[in-house]
Order: sequence, then structure tokens, then C-alpha cells
Amino acid sequence: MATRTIEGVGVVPQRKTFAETYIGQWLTTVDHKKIGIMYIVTAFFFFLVGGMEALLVRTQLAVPNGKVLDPETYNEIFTMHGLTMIFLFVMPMTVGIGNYIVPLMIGARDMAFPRLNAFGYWIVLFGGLFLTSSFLFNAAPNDGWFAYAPLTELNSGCVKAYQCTPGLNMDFWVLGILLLGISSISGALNFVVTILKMRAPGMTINRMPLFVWMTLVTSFLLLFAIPSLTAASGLLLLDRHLGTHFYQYTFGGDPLLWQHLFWSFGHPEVYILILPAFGIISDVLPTFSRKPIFGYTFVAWSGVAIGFLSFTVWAHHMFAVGLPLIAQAFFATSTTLIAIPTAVKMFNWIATIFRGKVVFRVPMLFAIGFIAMFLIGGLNGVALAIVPFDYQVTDTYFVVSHIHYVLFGGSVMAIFAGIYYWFPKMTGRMLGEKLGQAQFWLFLIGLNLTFFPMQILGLLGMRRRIYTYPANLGWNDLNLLETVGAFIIATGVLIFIWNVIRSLRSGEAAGSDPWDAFTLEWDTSSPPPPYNFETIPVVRSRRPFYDKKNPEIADWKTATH
Amino acid sequence: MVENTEKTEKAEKVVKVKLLGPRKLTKEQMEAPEPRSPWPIVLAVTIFIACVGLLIHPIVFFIGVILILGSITGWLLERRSYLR
Repeated sequence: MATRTIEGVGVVPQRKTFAETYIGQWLTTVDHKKIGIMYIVTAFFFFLVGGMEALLVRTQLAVPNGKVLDPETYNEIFTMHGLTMIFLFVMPMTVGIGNYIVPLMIGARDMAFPRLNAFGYWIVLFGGLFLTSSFLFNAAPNDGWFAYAPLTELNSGCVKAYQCTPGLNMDFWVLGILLLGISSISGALNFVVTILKMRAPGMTINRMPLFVWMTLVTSFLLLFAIPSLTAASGLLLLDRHLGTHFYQYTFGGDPLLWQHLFWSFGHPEVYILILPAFGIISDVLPTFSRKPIFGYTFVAWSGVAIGFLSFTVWAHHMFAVGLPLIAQAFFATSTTLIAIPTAVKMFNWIATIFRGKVVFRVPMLFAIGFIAMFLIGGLNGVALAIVPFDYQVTDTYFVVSHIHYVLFGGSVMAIFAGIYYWFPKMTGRMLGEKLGQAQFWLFLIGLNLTFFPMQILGLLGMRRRIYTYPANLGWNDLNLLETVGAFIIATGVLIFIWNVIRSLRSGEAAGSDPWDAFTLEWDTSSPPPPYNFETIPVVRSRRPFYDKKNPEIADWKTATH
Repeated sequence: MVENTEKTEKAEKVVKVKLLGPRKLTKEQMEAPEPRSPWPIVLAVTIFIACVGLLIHPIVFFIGVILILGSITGWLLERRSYLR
């Protein structure tokens, strides 16, 4: 029995409904902060799943002629590793951080569509469980995360069984991706409306925090990119079960149609994964450099430029299929062009740190690590835009190295920068500094040991996705080194888990503003109340909380923005 | 005796609450969503059932579709509890 006070009447005994119980509150909540935390916890769970898949892959490849996994299981494991890390870790994690932080950053009380927000989360959870449960049926997707046709076809047109996928494996892929696509669209719509319509008074577009900017751009990318993937998946489902032949050359279809449709989603997807990371870094660096971001306008609009350009580069994934020369020239040029706005960001981040009073707390370490590692990944990407070089290394471990420097060295490092930065806001507790530093160095060393040798192996001709390799190719030591690196990263993850548990139990109280930060999310308690702010703040510059704390030298007194 | 008096007082209070009816709400309160709603998770579960049905049996799929329609209806008709 609970009691409820009713105005003018007194205390009335009332039975607790299920929605009012602890579990019920989480299951039925539409509060953006709770939903954000659920996203983050779920994404981290899938990070562990994807990490274990990665360790299995690396264990299999540690020595030549490895026998840890059989070839079929190996195909399933590396496919699910890619799917899990992309669709069930990085995307939900950045959406979760955005869910929690964006309304606070813009001075709103919640997202624009709270129920749609909750729906987006639950679909991610069930989509993830759906995909992962495929292991229970011995039918996990097994054709790689980009699922090239006609390997994914059911049976018609296949001369031999291994040329297609007769089991349920690719059905799990298609339906799982459709579920996750529904979530992405609903989440993106919600972010766009929230950011465009619910900002606090005075927060013009050009005063928004850069994480909000990048979330907005990412949301537009999702809205325009996901339909292409949905169409591709739908056509594949029709091919597999209703006898159509969209991707079957023998019957007048075209396998390249899949590649065009998939990559016109797939390359914007890379930016969907990295742009929120750019946003996190653009808010962490100024706080720990004790100065405003250098070149705010350029950092913000270079994100928009990256967003536009990301739709013009998809066929650089397809140079090896024999595109016409003019197409090769176009996509090589557009891919090289996209390096320009990315470099603009890099220079601005470095200029932000330059001559700042840099405080090397854990979020800053991860942010600096991000800059260094993403630079390597980005430069690899420019190399891959050069068509003759791409011919040489396409589908080798060089490409695997590139994507991991971008997504692990980039997205994952930035995500951990964000977690260490905003964990105090979400829980009211600080994460342990020393454990955080240990995790950072293990990550930095581990990821370079794992992913740098892949570049050499790629140049030596090691194909991606091979199940094993003979001992006489000169690949043995580098592969073993990579496996050692993967386990070092895993140790870092374990330290992080311990750090979180320890902090939640007995961590130092954070207070509302532990970093002496500049943006609005710190202008409320930690964790914030359900309504976020007692009164909606009024914004007069890009650093509204800095202005409030320093009224004599407030930005709006000197700056024109 | 004391207990009986307390019970009577509580009963009177409940009656008063019923007589008072719903509170007057501001425009913002009218527009605000229910702080909790079961329909997002219900709709997600039903879509999940339909997807599983596509893999295992058409009947499960059709049950899933019917449940989806039901949960969309529930979502659309949901009213804020303090308006009831």
C-alpha cells in the first residue's frame, strides 16, 4: 500500500499500480534520462557480447591452422561481431548519451515525443535479442555485416550450396536490421524535432553545444540513409521467400544493386557512428582546456559538410567490382574531399588545446587519444580513396585496420570520454581516476597492438574473413601480437566494469558541476530531477553556464554570437 | 472503537476525493504525455512477435500483426490518468 497526498483532502491510502513499482517504473518510463540510461546499459551489454566475439575471432587467428572454431561458426562469429558493434553498441550508445544529455544541453524538460523515445529503446533491445538469439537456433547471420548478394540468396540460382544461404541465417539478419532501422528512424525524428523546436529561450542554432549540433546532423543522416538499407533488406526478403530475383544475375537481376543500395546506407553509416563522437570530443576538449572551442562555426558547419559529402562517396567501397573510369574518378575525388572538413575539425581541436590550461583528467585523456587514433584511421581512409592502392588492398586486413582505427580508436575512445565526462551527471558519483587512467593506457596500447599489425598483414596480402592460414606466409608473429592486444583491451574493459561498480557503491560524490564546465547540463543537480530544471534557463552566449558562474566576464558581454 | 473511527474518516476522505473529480489542468499539463506508458514496450514486443512469426510460422506472424494493431490502438487511445 502506498499513500498519496491530495490537495485539500489529506492522505488517502491507494494500491500501488504495477507502473509504480521499481521494475514497472523502468518498463513504462518515458523520461529521457531513464531511457538514456537503459540505452547505455543495453549498449554496454552488447559491447561485451561483441567483445567476446572479437576475442573468439582473435583466438582462432592467434596461431596458424587454428582449430578453436569450425569454419561455419567462424563465419557467424565475425559477422555477428560487426553487426553487434555497429548496430547494437556504437549506435545505441551514442543515442543513449544523446538521449540523456541533449535535452539537458538545450534546456528542455524532455524529448519532443517521449513515448516514441521509449519505443525506440525497446525496439533496439528486442532487435538485439532477436539478432543474438539466432545463435540458439544455430543460424546466426554468416555472410559478413554487409551481406553481399547473391551469397545471401536462399537457393534459386545457386549452383552449389555454399554459393547461397539456405538456412534462417540471413532471415535473422534482414529482420533484425529492419527492427533496428525502425528504432533509428524513430530516434532520429525525435532528435530533430527536439533540437529544432525545444531549445531554451536565447539558444539560437549558432549557440547550440557542438554535441547537439552533431546529434542533429547524425539524425538527418539516419533519416536519409536508413530507407536505402530498408529497401535493400526488403528486396532480399522478397528474393528469399517470394521468388523475386532482384539480386540474381541468372534471372535478370543484378547483385551490384545490393552493393549500391547497401553502401549508399553504409557509408553515411560510418559518419553516423563517428559524428556523435566528434560532438563529444568538441565538448570535452574545451572544458579540460579551460577555454572555448576554437573556431566553433567551422567545427559545426564542417560537420554539416561531412554529412552532405557522406552521401556522395559510397562507391569507393566498390572500386574492385569494375566501375567505369568516370565513376572511379568521381568517387575517389569525393572521398578525398571529405577529408577536408574532417581535417578542419582536427585543426580546431588541436588549436583548442593549444595554449589552454590543460587538465589531464580521464575524459581529456580519452579525447586526446581519440584525436591521435582517429588521425591514423582517417589517413588510412584517404589512402583507400586512391583507386590503384585500393585495388591492391581491397578486402584485406588493411581495410579491417582502417575501420577499427576509425571505430575503436575513434568512436569507442570518444564514447568512453563521454562516459567518464557525464557519468557524474547521470549518477551523482565520480568514476575512479586511477582506474580510469589504467583503462585508458590499456586501451591505447591494446588497440595499437591489435590494429596496427593488421595494416602490415593487409599489405602482405592477408585477406579479411579467412578462417585460418598456413604457417609459412610470415603472418604468424603479427597475428599473435594482435591477439595479445585484443586481450589487453579486454583487461581494460574489465577494469572499467570494476570502476563503475566501485563508484556506484562508494564513489566520491560529484556535486552538480565537478568539471567546472560551460554548458547547461551542469546547471542542475546530479542526477537531475525529473523536470530537469527548476526554471528554464535563458541563454545569451555559447557558454551559458560559464556566464552564470562568471557574470563579470560573461561571454555575452564581449562575444557577438 | 478508535480503529472504527479512523476507518470512517478514511472512507469519508475517499468519498470527498471522488466528489472533487479531476483537477483543473493547465494547457501544458493537458499536452504533456503521461509520465509512464506501457504502450511503447507493448508495441515493441508485438513487433518482435511478428518478426519471430515470419521465421517460425505464419500463424504466429498473424497473431503478431493483430497484436500490433491492438497495441497501436491502445497507444492512440491512451489518456492521461489524471483526466480519467
